Amino acid sequence: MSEATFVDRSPERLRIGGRLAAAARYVVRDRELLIATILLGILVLLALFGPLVWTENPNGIDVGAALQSPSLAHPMGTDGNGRDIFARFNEGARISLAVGALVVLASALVGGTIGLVAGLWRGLTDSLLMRALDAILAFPPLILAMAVTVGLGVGLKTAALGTMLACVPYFARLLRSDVLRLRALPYVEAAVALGATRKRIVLRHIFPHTASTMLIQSAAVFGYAILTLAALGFVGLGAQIPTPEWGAMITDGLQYALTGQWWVALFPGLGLLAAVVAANIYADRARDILDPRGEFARV
Amino acid sequence: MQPRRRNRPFGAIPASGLSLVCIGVLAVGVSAAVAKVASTGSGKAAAPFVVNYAVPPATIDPGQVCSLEDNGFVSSLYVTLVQYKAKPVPGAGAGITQEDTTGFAPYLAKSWKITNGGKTYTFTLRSGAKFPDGKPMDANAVKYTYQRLLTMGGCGAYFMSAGQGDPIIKAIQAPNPTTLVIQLTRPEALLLHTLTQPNLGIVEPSLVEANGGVQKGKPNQWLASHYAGGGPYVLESYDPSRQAVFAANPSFFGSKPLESKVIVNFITSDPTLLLQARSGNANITVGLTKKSVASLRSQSCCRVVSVSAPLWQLIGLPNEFPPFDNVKFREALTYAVPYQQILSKVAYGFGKIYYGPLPPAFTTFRAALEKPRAFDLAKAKELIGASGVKLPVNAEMVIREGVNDQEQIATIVQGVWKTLGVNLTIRKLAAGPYANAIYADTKKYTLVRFDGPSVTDPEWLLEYDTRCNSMFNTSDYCNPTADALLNKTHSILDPAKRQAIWDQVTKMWVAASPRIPVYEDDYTIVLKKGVNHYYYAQDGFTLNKWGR
Repeated sequence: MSEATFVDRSPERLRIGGRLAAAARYVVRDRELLIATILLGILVLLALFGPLVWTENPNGIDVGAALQSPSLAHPMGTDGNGRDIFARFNEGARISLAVGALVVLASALVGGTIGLVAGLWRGLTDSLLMRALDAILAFPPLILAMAVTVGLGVGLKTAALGTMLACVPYFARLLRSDVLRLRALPYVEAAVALGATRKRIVLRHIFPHTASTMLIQSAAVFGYAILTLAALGFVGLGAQIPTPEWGAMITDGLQYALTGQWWVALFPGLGLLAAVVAANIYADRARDILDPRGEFARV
Repeated sequence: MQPRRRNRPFGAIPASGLSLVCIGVLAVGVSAAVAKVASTGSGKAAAPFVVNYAVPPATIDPGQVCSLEDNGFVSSLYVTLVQYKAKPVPGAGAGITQEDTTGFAPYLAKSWKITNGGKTYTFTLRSGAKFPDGKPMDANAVKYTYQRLLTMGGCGAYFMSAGQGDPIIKAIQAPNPTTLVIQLTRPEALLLHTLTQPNLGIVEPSLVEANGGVQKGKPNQWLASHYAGGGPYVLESYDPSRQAVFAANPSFFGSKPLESKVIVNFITSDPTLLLQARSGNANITVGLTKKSVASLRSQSCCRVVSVSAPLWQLIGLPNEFPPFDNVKFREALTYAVPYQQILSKVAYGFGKIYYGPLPPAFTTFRAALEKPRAFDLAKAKELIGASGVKLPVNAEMVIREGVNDQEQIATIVQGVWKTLGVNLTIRKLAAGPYANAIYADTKKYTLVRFDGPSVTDPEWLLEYDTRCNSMFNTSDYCNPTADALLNKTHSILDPAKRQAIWDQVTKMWVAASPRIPVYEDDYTIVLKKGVNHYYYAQDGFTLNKWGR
């Protein structure tokens, strides 16, 4: 008698290759998500490989070539100091995407930890932490970020720190509410009843189920972080001369808006727009996909 | 697994595209609203004369104004003892004139004589001059004004010392209402020049006494935002964040102003200034960046007037701080600035390049002694090698935030000096900290500064710019031999003898390369078509001589 060959036809148990193909099909069918993926993909490619392919020095001064319009020699034109804007755009993409990601990661870690502790420990700990976050939330986030930057000295690092601080409460409060919900679920109660340690309960039963929340929030905060960094650069509190940060480049380009040199501000502005829109679309879709009651939920 | 289709109220337009459209519409709406808000207060065309000005004054107390911009703002509100004569601006057409600092004309003083070896000045004042409140503008008012400046201290007192720092006023007497006598401790060739300055504008004594009076070492807070003068205009209203309205003074003794009412709008945004100039909302626009001015050259709305003025952009080098205390190192840096390109791309051709302590606009400028230095990186590297300075050198460059020209110059120099092994970190400072940095006792950083003397005479300029221990010496340059030569000029009135001293000081200065004058910066104004009269003064906002 031959052994039956088990073919798993369950739609929930797709193989990894199948999952990627399904994801790709999903992206292609969703027009907005496709656009966001293309935009983000272009920016990531430019950030990673742009400086390798386009080897112009982003800080190379050539005053004689100042304010040249876009051409083959300078695809995005040159700025008031003769610097190649395409090279600066690529470098700016690196800065914005990398620092934005770092800010998200750091604020997720810090905010997530605070939310986890507050949700688990409750009582005085919860109250103290939440009141501290309320104090931070009382400030408009951009103002808070500016205050931190001014207080600690202007620059990209302090701007990132200020942005991170402004983002922490959003992660913390979200995760806290998630933890409060999860700890009341029957399987967690059962684990407690069975004598599971707190560490096991957190790592095995609670933390994994907060991942989707954190992911969705991270996607949303990513766009916000990039925008805040650019805003700080725009007002001169972020990246300093000659760092090619998009916000600072937009500020520099504004002075030329009315005198015909439209390209100086336009391209970094488009980069910023693309990054933020793509991040927001991803955040939107992530919420849909990871919604446990949504159409993509597995029973 | 199908992506969920969303309910789209606007059909197939993606939400992101719709949001982009909304953002665009909002941006246009906000821009229109901003332009409307920034428009003239009257909202009516033609009647008042509108001047848009980029620099709101920090104070309107003539005894406290210190900057060229602030000095200029009060000049049409107050009367001085004497004024400069006028001369046409070359190539600018009829009606465009500027002050002639080689000659003095009567103002409140009808005439004067200098006696006692240059230590006694006797002024005969015109009779019947009055302030708007009817009080006499006489010798007692002048004496009160000058004593006030000496008591308060600050910039007014500095001007009373003719910019020399030491107290030269021995006594001020008003033997009768039309005679004023100033006695000096020593002769001072610059005194008449300083008496033309708006800082020495005559205030109405009873008004000042009724509002805080005079306190030693303290400014009068009331006068910082109120008017107590008797000049061609009275200040009808004043909001330092928005607008000042000038109305012709009916009791002014001199020629009536060309315009009976002038509205001065304070607009710090260059794009807004430019839009207003282009659309004809302003009769005169002052303070546009050179880039914006250059864009208007070909426009039919306006006429661009450029005046060669003793104003310049400079890079100060900290002469007392290593390695900038090394002469060859400083000289090397002077060959590492692309002067011509900066003049072309930053100043848009509105200026001249030179290398020396006196700008080309000075009548005492000698081109043979102050030839521009070339942009020669090979020579710069050679000089650095010869200097013995170890590379890399890390240094700081201080600039004022919000000033695009300074930022551009600093960025260009940062990029070029990096190739020499000199790494500059640019630090942008707000107005207050920037002023503190400029006037610090000992500087450890380079700086970019827009500068120019109130009195266009080398004695005035070099006194604050090159004197050892002068707080206004932006490079901490010190040459005791030059100081000794400057000491001699106080009592020398003969122009040829004074020129001989300037030439010696110039040679010493050039050899020391204490700082880098990037370019002399022409003063540019934009006149709306139909504005036929404009008068330039170094401290000049002579509104009474501007008009249609």
